Amino acid sequence: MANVIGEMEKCLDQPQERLSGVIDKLRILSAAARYDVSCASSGSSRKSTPGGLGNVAASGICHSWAADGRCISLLKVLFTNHCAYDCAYCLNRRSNDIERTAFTPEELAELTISFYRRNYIEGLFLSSGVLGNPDYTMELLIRSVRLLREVHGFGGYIHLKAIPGADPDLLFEAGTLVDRMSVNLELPSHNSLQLLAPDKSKEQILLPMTRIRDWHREHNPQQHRQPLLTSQTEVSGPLQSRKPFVAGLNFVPGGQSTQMIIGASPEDDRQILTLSESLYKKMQLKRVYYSAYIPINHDSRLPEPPQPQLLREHRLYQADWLLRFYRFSAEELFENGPPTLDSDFDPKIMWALRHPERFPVDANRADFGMLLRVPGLGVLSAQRIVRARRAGVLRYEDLVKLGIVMKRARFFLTAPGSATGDLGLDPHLLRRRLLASEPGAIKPKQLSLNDFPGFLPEVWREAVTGQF
Amino acid sequence: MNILRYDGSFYGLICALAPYLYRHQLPDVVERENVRQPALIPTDEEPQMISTALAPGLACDPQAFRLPGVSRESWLNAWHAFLSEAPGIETMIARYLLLAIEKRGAVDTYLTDDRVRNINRFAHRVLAEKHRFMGLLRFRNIGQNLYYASINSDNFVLPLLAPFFVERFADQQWIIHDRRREVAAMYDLRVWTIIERSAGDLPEDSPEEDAAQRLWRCFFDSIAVRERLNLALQQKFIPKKYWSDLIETPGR
Repeated sequence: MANVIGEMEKCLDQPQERLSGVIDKLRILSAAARYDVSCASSGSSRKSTPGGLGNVAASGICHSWAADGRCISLLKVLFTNHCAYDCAYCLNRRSNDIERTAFTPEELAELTISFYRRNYIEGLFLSSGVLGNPDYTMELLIRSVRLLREVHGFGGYIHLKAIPGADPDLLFEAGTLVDRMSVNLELPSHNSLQLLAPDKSKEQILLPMTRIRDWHREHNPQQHRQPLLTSQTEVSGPLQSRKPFVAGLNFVPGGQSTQMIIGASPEDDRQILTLSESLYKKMQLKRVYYSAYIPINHDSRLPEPPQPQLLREHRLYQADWLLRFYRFSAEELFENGPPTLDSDFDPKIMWALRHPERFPVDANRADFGMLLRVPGLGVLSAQRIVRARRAGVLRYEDLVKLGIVMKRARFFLTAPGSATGDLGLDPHLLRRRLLASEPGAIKPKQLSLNDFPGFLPEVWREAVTGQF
Repeated sequence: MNILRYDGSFYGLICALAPYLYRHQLPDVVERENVRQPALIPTDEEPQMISTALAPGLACDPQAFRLPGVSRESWLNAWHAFLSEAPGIETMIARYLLLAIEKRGAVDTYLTDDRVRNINRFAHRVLAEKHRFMGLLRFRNIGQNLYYASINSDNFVLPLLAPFFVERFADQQWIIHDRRREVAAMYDLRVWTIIERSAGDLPEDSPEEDAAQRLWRCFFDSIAVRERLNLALQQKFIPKKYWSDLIETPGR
């Protein structure tokens, strides 16, 4: 609470008549939305109407980075922080005694336009607590978004949270106005959901997700020619880029995403990633976001970790990237090993250490899919190798010239001229070698006499001063 | 000694270079018209000074841009690298184009060749800075539907940024001012042009501007999750050299 009061003073140091109301709302409703992790403005592409305001860049653009290092791409706010639900982990749950407020659709639209015109943001991320009932809340959100699109002619990015339990017609209407929709999964399993978010059920969350998927499929046929996830065996060659979307009825051209909280419930990494994989495959989600649980509320149902599990969150994101861009499957990531990701190494090294039989890989002959599996090679590096080797044999020095970071790759990738001593190491030895090159993993330390057992301080002092 | 002078534009450079490239030759020195740097070994007379006189309206041979074997990708690479304004970039471009002619369109697969690498490196640097400014550039309202932004970029990114902002803010008039080069891109709802503008020529904000800026700073401060404070990461994404032109204050 102290934090919130400090902020209020900061934001209110020069109150101004007309805007003081909006600035208060903005402070409360952006603070209420900050635990939402979704930030992307990518994946959709919207041409500006001639002479109109705004477009969507397919690459996504970050406009700033907050003090927590997270990108600010969208104006991320709740429409209201009033909420009828009482989810254990949520700041805005009904039983919390916090300042409550709500925007009006007009205020929100004006605010978005004023930020957008100054190039502060890519667009709007709009979520909301449940005000009264889901349908009413959804109607308010739709009204805000419609105002932006139709009255202000706004062509920028809009990400809208689907309110669980809202009428399907409302969901469809919202989907035709925005670039991306998301339904929060909240927790990685049905049981955890029952325990921590008793007002929400798995069906209530999955049903709108399925509907959005079907509508999206129906109205964006060209996006569904290729599955988002391909197994390693099916295709080799550089990943195909998607064709930009053509005008017509746009139903969430940027697809849908979801997020779940990590560390508030007992699921292991394997369960979480298997779930993500099935969401990518079956629900055709564009993104699954993971959010390390931060204890905001004191609740007996929740663990109270001293620190949010940021490293675990980071590893999950790395593994998620492997699923989406590197043709890994969740199952093979964890075969012959424990169901948790390695905290010392990224998941790709973890997989490589468990599969010494697949390495070293020949840079001049390996197919694109196998190059992607080499630790230290990204999609871009693999594409460069494939392109450059058409012009001639790649030697070790050439790999360095291509801009490939050999720090990790040199243990797994071979080319004429590579140091043979680095290749084909036994996994235990390799593990140690890799750890040694990791900054901060092994800290060098000055030896001290106190480190030796049996050395008494008095004796030590005498030895130094020469007294007996 | 062949000293080639051009007017400072990419068009001028290619016009001047084309006759050499057709003969598979390189000039010894290429320099900009208004930048005079004495040669390392001064000669009494400036021998064989070839200067391209590109007065407005006087087009160069259109064949200049039809160099055989130079693909669209290669032209773009060369142009982007040119915008880095790095010392000696003209010679690097000449070498790159010569290689492109030699390799008949396949030049960009020779990623390990230094001539290609140099161009790619500079082109990448320019595009990276352009992308950064697509996000970090901040407009201020300075009048009725008139917006102004000021940047201090390492590379000459204005010609890349302007089309992007024309597409995005087609219904507002704007000026993007490059203080380092003392030029500005101006858009008047129809076309954009690059004009000269001195670094000290900064316009006054409109009365509404202050309120919008305070709203943005308020949002910026309250969106950060305190439990995850990571100023080093923030600074990695927004290097300090860009801070002065932002509305928000990173590092707190």
